[in-house]
Amino acid sequence: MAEVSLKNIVKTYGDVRAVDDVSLHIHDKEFVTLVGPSGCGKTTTLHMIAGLIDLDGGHIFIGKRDVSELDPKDRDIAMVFQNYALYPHKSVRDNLLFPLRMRKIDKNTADQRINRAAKILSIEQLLDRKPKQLSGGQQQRVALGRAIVRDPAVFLMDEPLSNLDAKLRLQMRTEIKHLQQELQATMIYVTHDQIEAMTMSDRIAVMDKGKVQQFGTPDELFNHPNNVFVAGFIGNPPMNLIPAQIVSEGGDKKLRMGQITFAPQSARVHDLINKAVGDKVVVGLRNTAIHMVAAGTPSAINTQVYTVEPTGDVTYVQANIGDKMCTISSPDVAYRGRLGDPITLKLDENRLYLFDELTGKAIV
Amino acid sequence: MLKNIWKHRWDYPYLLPALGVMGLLIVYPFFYTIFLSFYDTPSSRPEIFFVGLDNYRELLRDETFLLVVKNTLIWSVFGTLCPFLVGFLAALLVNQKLPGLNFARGLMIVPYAMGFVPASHAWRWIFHGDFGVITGTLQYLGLIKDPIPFLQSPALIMPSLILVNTWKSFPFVMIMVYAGLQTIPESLYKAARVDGASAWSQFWEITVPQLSNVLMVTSMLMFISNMNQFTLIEIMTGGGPAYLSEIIVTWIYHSSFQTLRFGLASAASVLLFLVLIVFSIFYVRTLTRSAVQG
Ligand SMILES: Nc1ncnc2c1ncn2[C@@H]1O[C@H](COP(=O)(O)OP(=O)(O)OP(=O)(O)O)[C@@H](O)[C@H]1O
Ligand SMILES: [Mg+2]
Repeated sequence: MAEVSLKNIVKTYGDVRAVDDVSLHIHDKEFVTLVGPSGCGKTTTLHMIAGLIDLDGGHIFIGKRDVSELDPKDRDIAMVFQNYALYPHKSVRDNLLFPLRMRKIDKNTADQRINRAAKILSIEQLLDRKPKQLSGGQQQRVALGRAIVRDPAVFLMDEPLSNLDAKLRLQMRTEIKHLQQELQATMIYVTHDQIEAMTMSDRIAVMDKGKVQQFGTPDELFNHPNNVFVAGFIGNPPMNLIPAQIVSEGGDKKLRMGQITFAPQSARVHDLINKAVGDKVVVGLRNTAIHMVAAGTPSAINTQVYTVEPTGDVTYVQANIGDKMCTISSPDVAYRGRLGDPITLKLDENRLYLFDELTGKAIV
Repeated sequence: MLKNIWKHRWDYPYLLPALGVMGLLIVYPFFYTIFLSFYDTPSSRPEIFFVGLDNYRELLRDETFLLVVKNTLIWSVFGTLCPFLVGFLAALLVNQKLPGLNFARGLMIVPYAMGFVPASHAWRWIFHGDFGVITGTLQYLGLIKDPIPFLQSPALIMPSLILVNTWKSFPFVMIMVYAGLQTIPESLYKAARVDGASAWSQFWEITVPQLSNVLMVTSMLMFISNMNQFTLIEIMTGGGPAYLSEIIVTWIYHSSFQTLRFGLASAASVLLFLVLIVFSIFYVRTLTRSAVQG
């Protein structure tokens, strides 16, 4: 059993709260990803779990043990570093052997484990090379190999794919996911790429400014974002977030976005509006929740095309709603509007999110 | 290539003065020394006489010269080893993130920054039997009665010189190793800690192999410059007493300009040159290899 619990862990550097009261409970054999923009504290959190950085507060449990004060070597973890950190003067075989040798594992067992790892990662023919003689993808496999020979309770990986080209990244993504299931290991994975997080993880912790903004399954994060930050971070293209003001016109509450006044038709949105504390809110709409409709459709919004971005299987249209540039999926892939072409948009009220502008919190 | 040379044909005359000076000061003496090593150069007469390999034979049979060779080896080996160990340890120390180390680092460089001449004079006085600060202090404290003749006693003279050289050159090793340590990525140590390596294993499995080129280059440079160390020894002891601290370079100087045996001294120079060229080739090899490896 290797569940991992972070209980209110804190790390400060001077005035910077790099990790600010983070608590997560990660189940055994779970694939959990920490995702967030640069500088949000992902690496720091991971290094604290590894024991490479001391805690300024809180506790870390691996299994049932409190490991907060233990050395990295006593935590039963293995780590893959962002730049791989292979030992440059050692051959691939000696790189894989090193963690075993340091743990005084006998030669036969060590050889077996190295061969098994080499086979899983298909690096058997590279064992006698030095890291410098390997491509980025091969080095990455060796770094994975050095982690799996140990057979640790928990794998920690810090952006292991960020140095690879796009195609290789896609391939390794699948391989790592597969590996984790094959090894039945608990995995804590760091990335700043939300697509990587969405495709690989059982659950994702979205971090910003040292805090966990939301911890949940990819579905939960995509469909029920806790706040504006998560809404804007998860999903590609990002959710359209339009500042709006709640106004009363003839006893009816409406949303004013720039010059546009939008009168919601559904009870659901009226309900959300009634729950808002102040009158300043942010309207959240995914690109698929804004539909291009025929001109003259009732309670639709009229605007103009800014750009059209064909990607092959989807065509995105950029257009202003209120004062905010929004991305919309065109229903017709072949649509090729030009700058200034009039279009009519209908908002999907079942999939409209409302956030408090001040706190950023979702109104539910 | 040829085209390039032709294109720059009017630039070459500008090199002539520099080439001329080099020819006069390096190329001519170099070949003239080899030439002289096959001649007898009696000080009483203006002529010189061809003697073949006699000078070399005499050197290898001369007990004084063999003592000088032995001194040179002791001096070069221990004069490299001691500063090397001290400098290495100092580098490891100043590489720690402790308060006050910036100041210590600056202070430790002082001996290296000081010239050989003033340093040698200063140490000659420090070691002096009658007026030296070491003997004086020990006598004042009542720890010894008689003065300690550091630079006279056969047992103390080489260790004393090596001590001064250690003091003088350890900062060089420290700077080289410290610079080398800065280039080792922190992540290697992190990986090693996760892999279960103790501080001791980290030192031997990461620090030393990562520094191997720096260590080779530094020790070779030190060794070569020690073999050529004229100033320190000439000022502190002049090679004496009784050849106890004479090394090949000081011996060459004394045989040519004091006893005026230019032929013999030239033969010794050629031998020293042959030894040094071997080390220099190793040095250049290591240097280019490390440059190629990045
Ligand atoms: N050794 C340190 N000294 C001072 N500040 C640090 C140190 N390490 C990290 N920080 C700060 O802590 C914050 C979190 O850094 P961290 O490396 O965890 O970010 P990250 O989420 O991994 O970012 P990235 O995606 O760029 O790797 C940053 O503001 C960073 O500047
Ligand atoms: Mg990072």
